[in-house]
Amino acid sequence: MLEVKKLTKNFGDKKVLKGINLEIHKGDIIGIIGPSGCGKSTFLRCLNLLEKPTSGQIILEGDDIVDNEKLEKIRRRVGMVFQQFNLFENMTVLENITLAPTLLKMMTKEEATKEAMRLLDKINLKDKADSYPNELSGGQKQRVAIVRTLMMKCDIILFDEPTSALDPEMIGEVTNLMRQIAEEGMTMIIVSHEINFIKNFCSRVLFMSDGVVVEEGSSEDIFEHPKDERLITFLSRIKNI
Amino acid sequence: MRKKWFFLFLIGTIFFVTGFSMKQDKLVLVTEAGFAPYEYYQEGEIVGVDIDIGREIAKELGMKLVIKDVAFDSIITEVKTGKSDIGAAGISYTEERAKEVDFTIDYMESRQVLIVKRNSVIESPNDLTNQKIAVQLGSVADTYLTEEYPNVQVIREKKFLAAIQDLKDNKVDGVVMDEVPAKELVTTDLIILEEALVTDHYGMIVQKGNPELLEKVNGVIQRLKEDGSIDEMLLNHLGVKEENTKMTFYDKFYYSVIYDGRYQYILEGLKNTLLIALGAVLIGVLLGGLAAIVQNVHDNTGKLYLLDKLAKLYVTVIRGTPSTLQLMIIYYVIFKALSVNIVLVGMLAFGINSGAYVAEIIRAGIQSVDRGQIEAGYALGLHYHQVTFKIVLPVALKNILPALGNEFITLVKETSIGAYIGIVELTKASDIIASRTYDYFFPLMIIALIYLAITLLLSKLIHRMEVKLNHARG
Repeated sequence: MLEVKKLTKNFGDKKVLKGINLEIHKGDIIGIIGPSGCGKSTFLRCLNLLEKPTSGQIILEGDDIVDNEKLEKIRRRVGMVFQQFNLFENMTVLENITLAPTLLKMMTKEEATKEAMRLLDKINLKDKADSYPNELSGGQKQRVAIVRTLMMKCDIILFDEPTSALDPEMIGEVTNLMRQIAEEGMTMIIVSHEINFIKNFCSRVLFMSDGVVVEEGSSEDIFEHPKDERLITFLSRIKNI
Repeated sequence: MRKKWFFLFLIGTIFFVTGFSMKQDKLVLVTEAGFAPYEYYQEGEIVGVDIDIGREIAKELGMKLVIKDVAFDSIITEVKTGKSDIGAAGISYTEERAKEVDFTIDYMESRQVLIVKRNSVIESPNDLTNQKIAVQLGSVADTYLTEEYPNVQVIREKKFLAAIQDLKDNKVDGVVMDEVPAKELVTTDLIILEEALVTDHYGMIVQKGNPELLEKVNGVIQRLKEDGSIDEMLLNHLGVKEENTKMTFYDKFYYSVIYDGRYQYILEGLKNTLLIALGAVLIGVLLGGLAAIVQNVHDNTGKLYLLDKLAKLYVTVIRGTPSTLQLMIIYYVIFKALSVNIVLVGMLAFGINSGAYVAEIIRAGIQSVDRGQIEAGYALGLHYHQVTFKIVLPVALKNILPALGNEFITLVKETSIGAYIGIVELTKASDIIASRTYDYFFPLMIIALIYLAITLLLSKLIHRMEVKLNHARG
């Protein structure tokens, strides 16, 4: 469904991504781990073209999207959840969720509101529909942000460290929602430092280091039988914490 | 896209140009009213010997006389650039001036006399050594003293009234000025010394290269001189001085505001100050908005390269030069040949000035919007314009509006330099009143209070707006 070929990204002279290859099938739950600065967030941001790749191909359902003129159409199909939630602070929860589908004429205002309320009900935040983001807790904000992405009926959702900015007691409510979405068959790519979550949740795990995918395999392969020296060092450091 | 901007610009230009008309059948006489008996304000009108002569000239030419009141040092520029036809303000002949404009034959002998305090040690011009003497900037007294009395410390005031005030306040030891107006304004504590420093002659000035007009004006002046009309005019305008010694607070208020309908100058000034500030802020928002949008589009998409450079040049030049200079350039250089409504010029000049600051206000407002929210908008598949209008602008506006309000407050005060090109705004209104009462204190205090009242009111409104905005956005 999504295929990445020899993807590179430079920021000026700095080579952040040095040729990434990846094939994703529908329903895959892919985790990306790696030390800070290894390029995992940049890779994610390239997938919905928030960063324009320097070279390489990203093929979504048979079309190369890198130089596609209809950037916005592609982004609708590739949702993204951010570390800092990035809710629109000047809009209510309901407005946050319904803005894009109505502006992009995917739904009428009534349809969007109805769907939004259904989803909010599912995450027990129906009563917050008219609240502003600054009245919500971090966990609530992130769940609203996920619902906002779900409204787009996208093919795949990218999670960029979705729990890093949360207090520990709020991580559960967000990961639970992610599990729920996964069970409904959504394709996901998750960049996270939450190693246990990645380990238990993801069907495939990529270990990135210095702009390349060093090791790739099932969750068990990566965490129980790491081969590459760098992955072994990385995992041992995490265990020590 | 580029076409659209161009059209907007074109429409704006047409709007402005149609507001002006070429002058016709009007004889524009430029002066600085505040030099009784030659030219001064009475009952809201400029009158005086120079004006009477001007009226005779206009009659001879079969034209309507229009009087324009500007700063003394702007009079030559007015005539030289053709914005005015005749300059008449007790102007003495000097070679330097004659290089810029043509002088008529003289119509009045002017004795430059020394005014001192009643108990002064200076008893004749021969006593002048190294004292401080105040004069009006650019006047004959200024030139003469500077050249002939190198040891005297010449204090150059913009207005000779200020020079007299300096003398009253013991800041200077004497004032040198024309004898006739001097008689109009000396009070009991001041005396005019008998012996003149120099005797000079007043002429009117016209633009160079117009012998026809010069000849006609000379003819009229010659006739008026010969039949004694000028002496008669002088007599008519003498003795209009109001006694201002030992006035109570109420008297001062009465003479500054009520007597002779002087509140009209203040109302007129207030009207023009507010009109110019309002017009300027609208033009400023338009220009500044355009400049900010152009730069923002360029920063985000890389398009509009040339317009972006233009916008940056505009902001740099305007913010890097004094606003007085900009005002004078726009009036004397750009609108040189056009007879333009001066208030409109003020609006335009202050608007262009303000636009550069507004552009920065808007840019700062846009840049203050959280990058993450903008990215979230893009990630949801929104287009640039949707992100701009739905996400960036509503948040940016919250920062921009109060800053714009402050810009308006600044503009209200800034308009006070409009007097340079003869706009009767509040500060000029106080000048006019002071030129009649010979007392600066009261009119200045009154308009200071008016400025303060306006800015306080505006600050309150802005504060309310801020509260409302914050409320509305949760």
